[in-house]
Amino acid sequence: MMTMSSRSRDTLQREMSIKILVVDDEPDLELLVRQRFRKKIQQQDYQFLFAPNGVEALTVLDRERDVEIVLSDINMPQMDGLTLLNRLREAPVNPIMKSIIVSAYGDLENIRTAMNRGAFDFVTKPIDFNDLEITIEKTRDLQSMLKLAQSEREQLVAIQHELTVARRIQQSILPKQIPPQTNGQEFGLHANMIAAKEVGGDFYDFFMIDPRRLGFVIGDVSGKGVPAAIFMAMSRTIIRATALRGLPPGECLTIVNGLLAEDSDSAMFVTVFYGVLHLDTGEMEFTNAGHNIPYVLHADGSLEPIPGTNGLVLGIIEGVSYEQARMHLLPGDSVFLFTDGVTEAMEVDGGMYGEERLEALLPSLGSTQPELLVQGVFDDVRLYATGAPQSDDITCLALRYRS
Amino acid sequence: MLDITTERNNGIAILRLTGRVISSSARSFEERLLTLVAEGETRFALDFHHCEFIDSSGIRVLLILLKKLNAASGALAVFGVSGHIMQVFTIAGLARLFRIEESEAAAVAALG
Repeated sequence: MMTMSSRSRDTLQREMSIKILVVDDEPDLELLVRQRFRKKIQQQDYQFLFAPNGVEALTVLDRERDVEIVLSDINMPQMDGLTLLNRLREAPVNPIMKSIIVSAYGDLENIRTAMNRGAFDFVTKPIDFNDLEITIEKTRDLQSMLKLAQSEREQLVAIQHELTVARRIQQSILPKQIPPQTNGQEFGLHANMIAAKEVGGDFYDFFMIDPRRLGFVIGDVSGKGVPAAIFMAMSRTIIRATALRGLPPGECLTIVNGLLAEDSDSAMFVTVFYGVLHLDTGEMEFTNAGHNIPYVLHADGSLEPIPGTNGLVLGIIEGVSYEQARMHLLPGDSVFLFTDGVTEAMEVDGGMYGEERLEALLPSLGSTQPELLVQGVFDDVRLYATGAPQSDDITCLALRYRS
Repeated sequence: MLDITTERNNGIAILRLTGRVISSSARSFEERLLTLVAEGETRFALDFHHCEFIDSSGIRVLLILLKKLNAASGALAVFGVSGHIMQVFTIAGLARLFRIEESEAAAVAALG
């Protein structure tokens, strides 16, 4: 951090010439300045502008908004240097502009007044040009630091803006309500996500494929921020559009993978669990493409992992085909899906929440109610990770089969 | 957070990973690998004996490497994989994409 800052400060200094406005009613001064700083002017390191009094100085400053140093005498006709300082505080000038006052030797009263009115420094008459150059360079150093701080602040604002954009994309693709067609009679479903500060790319989705089949999805995109959010939105949309064609899960994800992998050279990928629940029979077909192993919490309190289907994460290799498997749910059984934000939640000293704790927790919640499962896991993860920053999205989806 | 040392064994680049491959360390890991690929390395064996943890950003780096190697007719093997990392590799279906070997000797033989 330090090395980067000082490097960019040097670059800033080398690349930019500085514009200096000299305000003095002494006509010889312009000639003197041009002679003494000839080299600097030739090298375009310094650019000088001249004004004979405060009024004209303000006119010049209004035209030349990139003046960074004003070097002003105190006693001048029409508007003196001290009045000019007052006016500069109100004028719409370059915010990093600094004033240097030229005073008579030992004129402490005017020097104090000038400093109190915002002068950055002073030099005395007759002007010692070596001293003036040191003063200009010192002023410039400070201004470079101010510029750097400003650009860093702007970058920070840009990053924060990006985070907001990513979060909005993520929030906008999450379904807001459970499918109304079934009126919640045949199944109960609850899902929630706590997004990390730097959006982690989790999503979930559910939809009625037809009146008798419910599709449900949980996914986690690799990477963070806006690129992850866009890939997530794309993944969710392609999965939903493909799933609504009523294809079996394996075939569905085979197509989705082909579409996602087609032009992904950034090696972005998404882990997905896609399940289809047949409401008449309790039959669940599913394909797991590299996602954390979900569980079935049976009505009798036993917990059963949903076996993987050897599926590679989606979006990487074209032409891979995905298999599916099936399980039979009994009334009162719940399926619990989650992302690695749950099991990889870290406690203050670096430990991870882990599968064991989740496997112990789920049956102990004493219910297969979706809301209770999701809330119970969130509460326990929060308890575990108290005081540690959340680095990834935490997402859970629970689905209970009723009849 | 992640320490990487590089050695060579029979023309194969052996990278030993110590620490955690997570989003904050994945970038330097990626740069290290891509530099080696740019220098012409095509066969890689990654030593996970002392790697405690890998997350999806780390998986992504392996997949980026794999894509580059596929394009260059190269190959990737990993060894010393256990516990959590093996589970991540298995879940992600990565065993279909590169060799997961018991030891360095086995990885080198598989790539030879």
